[in-house]
Amino acid sequence: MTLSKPLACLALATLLAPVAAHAAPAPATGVVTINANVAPRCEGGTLDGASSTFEMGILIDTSSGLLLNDLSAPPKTLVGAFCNTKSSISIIATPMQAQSFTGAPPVGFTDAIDYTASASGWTPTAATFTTDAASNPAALQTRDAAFTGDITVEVSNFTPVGGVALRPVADPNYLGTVIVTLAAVS
Amino acid sequence: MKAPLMRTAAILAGLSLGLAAAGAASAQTAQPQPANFPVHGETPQLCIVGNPQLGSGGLVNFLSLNGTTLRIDRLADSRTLATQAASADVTFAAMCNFPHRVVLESQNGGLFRGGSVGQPPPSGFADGVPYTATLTWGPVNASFFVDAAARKDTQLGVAVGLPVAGDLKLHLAIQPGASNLTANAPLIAGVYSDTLFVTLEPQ
Repeated sequence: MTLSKPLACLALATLLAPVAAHAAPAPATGVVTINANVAPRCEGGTLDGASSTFEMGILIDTSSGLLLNDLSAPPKTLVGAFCNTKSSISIIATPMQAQSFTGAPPVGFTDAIDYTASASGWTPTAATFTTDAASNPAALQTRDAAFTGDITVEVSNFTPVGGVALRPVADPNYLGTVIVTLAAVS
Repeated sequence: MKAPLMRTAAILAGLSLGLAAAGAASAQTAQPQPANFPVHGETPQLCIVGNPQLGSGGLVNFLSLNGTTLRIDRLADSRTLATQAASADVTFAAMCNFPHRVVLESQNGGLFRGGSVGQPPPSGFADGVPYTATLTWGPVNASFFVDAAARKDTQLGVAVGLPVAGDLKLHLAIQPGASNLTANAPLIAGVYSDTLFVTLEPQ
């Protein structure tokens, strides 16, 4: 402790000495420009629940073999999705396809199931996609401002590919996929 | 004096460049992260056979179908006691949603007289009548001749390599004079019956 004070005083004297030697020094100016960007960014949120799979269970009426007309599954929720700019939400889906059955289904049968998938909560109009539709103009929705919230994804309106009179072939694994994409719009 | 200031400015400029560089890197919009949701279901193996209905082929020497019983009007000619011809078409609304097997099973192995099981008929009389069940089911056309050679359970099984839905058709036919003795042998009096099972089952 006793040595530190004299050393500090010496350093101050050294700095002040040139000022005393010049009466009116020209000002020296340093210019600093600071720029930063916040990139447009969207995060799709966190899945509420353990599984992302819509488990539909047994698809057919076991007294007729026809597709059940009241198939349903609990919705999935993406919690805490956000976009810090204008954004779009899009949804696409593929029919549920029998994974083990091979070849063309025989007369009276089908090996695929159509349905409608929707994603709501992000835009005033839910993004929807129907797998047997010729086009799906509602599958892409946009939101003009930054937003944060939950996205609810649902599946509904299951119908046999080819017509309601067709029966699904036996298969332990009918599988389709719904894909929801949240993206920043420049 | 300038040296320290320039050095300071250089350090700040370097910091500014660093920020700018960082800004340029983060200005690239992150790629959207799609959320995937599998949709899964199961269709179990299932076969269904409905109740029999009379087919469009008409009845020859058969009375109407009563429940699951098809009654022959006159099995024997009233004068010769020889078997009279009879035929009927019966359909079952059926479905099997996987490759399967169709089985026709005759409980008696022919139309046999009841009430005297194990006892041979008197000499010169027949107590059994053969018949044919012709099956049409999807790609299958099969003939099941139930020969009445012995009173026993008799089966015909046919593999069907694909799912089938629709009408399972049976054409039942009794030939004139058919018996388990000789052609045109007289039939001993009694009630003749058989039970024919149609089964769709896994292979």
